[in-house]
Amino acid sequence: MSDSLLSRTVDRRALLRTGMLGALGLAAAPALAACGGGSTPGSSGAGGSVSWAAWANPGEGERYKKFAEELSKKINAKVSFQAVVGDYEAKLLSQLAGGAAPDAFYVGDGQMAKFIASKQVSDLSDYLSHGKSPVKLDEFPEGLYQWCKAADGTGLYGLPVDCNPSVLWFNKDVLSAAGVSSDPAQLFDGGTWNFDAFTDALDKVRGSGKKGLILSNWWFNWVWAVTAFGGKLQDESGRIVFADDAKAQEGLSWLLEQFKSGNITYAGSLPKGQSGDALFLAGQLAFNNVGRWALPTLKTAKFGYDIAPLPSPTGKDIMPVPVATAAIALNAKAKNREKALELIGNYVSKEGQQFRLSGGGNAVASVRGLDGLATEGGVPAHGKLFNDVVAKGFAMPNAFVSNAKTATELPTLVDKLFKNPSTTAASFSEAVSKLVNG
Amino acid sequence: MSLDTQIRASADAVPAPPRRKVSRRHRKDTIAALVFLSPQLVGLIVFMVGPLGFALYLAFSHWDGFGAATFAGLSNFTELFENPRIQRSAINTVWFTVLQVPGVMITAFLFALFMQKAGKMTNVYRLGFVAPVVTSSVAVATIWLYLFNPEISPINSALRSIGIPAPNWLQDPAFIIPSFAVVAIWQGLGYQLVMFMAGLQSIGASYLEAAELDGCSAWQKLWHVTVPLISPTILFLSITSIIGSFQVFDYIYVFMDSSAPDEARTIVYEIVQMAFREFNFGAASALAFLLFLVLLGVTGLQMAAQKRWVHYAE
Repeated sequence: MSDSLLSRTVDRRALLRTGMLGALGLAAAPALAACGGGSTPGSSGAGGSVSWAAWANPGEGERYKKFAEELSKKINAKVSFQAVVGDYEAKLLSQLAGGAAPDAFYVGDGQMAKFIASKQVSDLSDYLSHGKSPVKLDEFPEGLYQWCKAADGTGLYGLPVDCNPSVLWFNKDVLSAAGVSSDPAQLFDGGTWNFDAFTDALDKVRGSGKKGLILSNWWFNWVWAVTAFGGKLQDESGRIVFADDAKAQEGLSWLLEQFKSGNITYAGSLPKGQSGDALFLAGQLAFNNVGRWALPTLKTAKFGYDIAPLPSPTGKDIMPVPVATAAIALNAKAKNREKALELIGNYVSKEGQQFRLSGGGNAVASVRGLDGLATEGGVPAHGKLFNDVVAKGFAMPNAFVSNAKTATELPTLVDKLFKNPSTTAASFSEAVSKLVNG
Repeated sequence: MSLDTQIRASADAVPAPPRRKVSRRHRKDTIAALVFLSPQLVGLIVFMVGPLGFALYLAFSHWDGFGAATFAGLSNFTELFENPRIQRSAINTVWFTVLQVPGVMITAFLFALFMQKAGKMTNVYRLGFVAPVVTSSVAVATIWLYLFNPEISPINSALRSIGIPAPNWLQDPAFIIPSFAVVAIWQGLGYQLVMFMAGLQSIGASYLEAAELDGCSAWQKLWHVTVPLISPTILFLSITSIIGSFQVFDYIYVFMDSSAPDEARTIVYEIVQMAFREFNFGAASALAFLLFLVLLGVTGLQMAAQKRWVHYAE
């Protein structure tokens, strides 16, 4: 027993030696783990492994994981999904700077220009024109992907994963109680849903003591005032030109008048909680200018609701209005480029979007031919209008986001302008054009 | 033989200490200390000293988060001083500190005094006060987002019911920073309360009894006995509160997201915006460095001033 480990005297030297070996072991553990890691291409299945990152609510996260399982079988590679919780942009930026970003990732409209300029994302044009790609560029409405091009209009560095058009949700009960005899969807069907009809409905709602519409400083909530009146937002070179367009000025004047009269309330720069969503759900708001993402929460609402497009001068047209979207992009330093391209192609293909979006009810497909998703379950009754609006709509104008500083300053500027009672259509246009065009 | 010579001679007679042995032992001890400290030191270097050094380097560089940084000299600092938005954010930060620090300290001190009389209910009350401390700031901000909503806020309803015009908390420029301060006071109260209670309990009863025998009133006992004896606690809490209030960010981010109006922005909010939204890591680091210097200066002043008013018990 005298030689046994337990009975041996532990002297200081032995303790030090053990401690140093232990510390070395701890220090070497990550390196050893990395050497034996299973995430290198080729280590799992013939095609190796591939990953993508995205923001996702719990429901979406589950759906994406199932998509990963299905896709793993299809492309013969281990596909994994990284759900990013919290500040997505900051986390992605850290991953990219550290060379640890996944092979593909979601990019918001505010970051795309920077990622393209700094060569963090790869051009997908060649892949899309390749015969093996499960999706082709002409399947996407043209207005949805312009923001994924480089500043000079070349290349394509991301593909819209899905989208959400700017529409008017309305509370039938609030409108009816305010004395609006025909709801906006009926008026649109009858070809009389113009700005006079909209103003009339807002006047009546205000008279009834409820709120008509709440808008924020997000481009999605105000750019339609330029385009729905038939105004021109940008020229061919992408410069913002609505300051010189009479119809655009008419639209902005109308919007500012509605703010002044109280028909429309400016929500300030508060995107959460104090926007129209809570009041609309509480039955205190007649209209809510949001996308299809409102549907899951509205399904439990105890009032009648439906959607209408934003009004048009003729009353029967669907005008080009904002469409919110995000893109999936290929990491320029993707470890498994080939499989990452397959992942992206399948992710945005008809089959992929059908799998991801069906049953979720919070977005509209970004490719044509999936109209059934927007009318799923027959709710809202005029769900097909989502597809019609997307077909004519446009994603974030490149000019708004071509410079990261502009992208962050625009909402703050719009906030100031909307809060200032002396703002006119001309002063608004001049200030925004000056910031955006430089 | 002089005394000096005697001492020198006796010193010469004493054999020289085994210098080599001592130095070897000293080296061994140093190595042992380093080995045992290494996990903590590695963490300190990787997560504290390294990022601090890198931020300082970035403060004098142009860097957009990708690729190589280029030397910028003092241009990042010039950019900050010329930016009116940063000046506004600095004023907002100071205004928040002025409201929040005395607000939370005075409130916590008063509640701590009352809690001394709470008897068996002390633990129940303490639990109630501490609950917001252990709740995440994001959850706290979400609750207050509801309470500050002028349309549905029970606070506004209560104010209206007693004839006070209810403010539009997060929209009215005059109320935005005070609103943040209210939330911060509410959340920070529990921690300071516990600290003050500990401080109050450590005051020996004999001091108060002596004051009573000398005919001191309750106010005199509080002002001349209690406050001086808990002055170390007050100093500690004032230092940590000021540092914390200068770094306020999370409430604003949850309340306003990434497009807060000028009236709501603070310095740390600007740092995050510049770095992660505008990809201007150089200017963001320069601002972080300036904030560090300001906090260092303020803390230094507090430490210098403490000699005049902080009383440490023997």
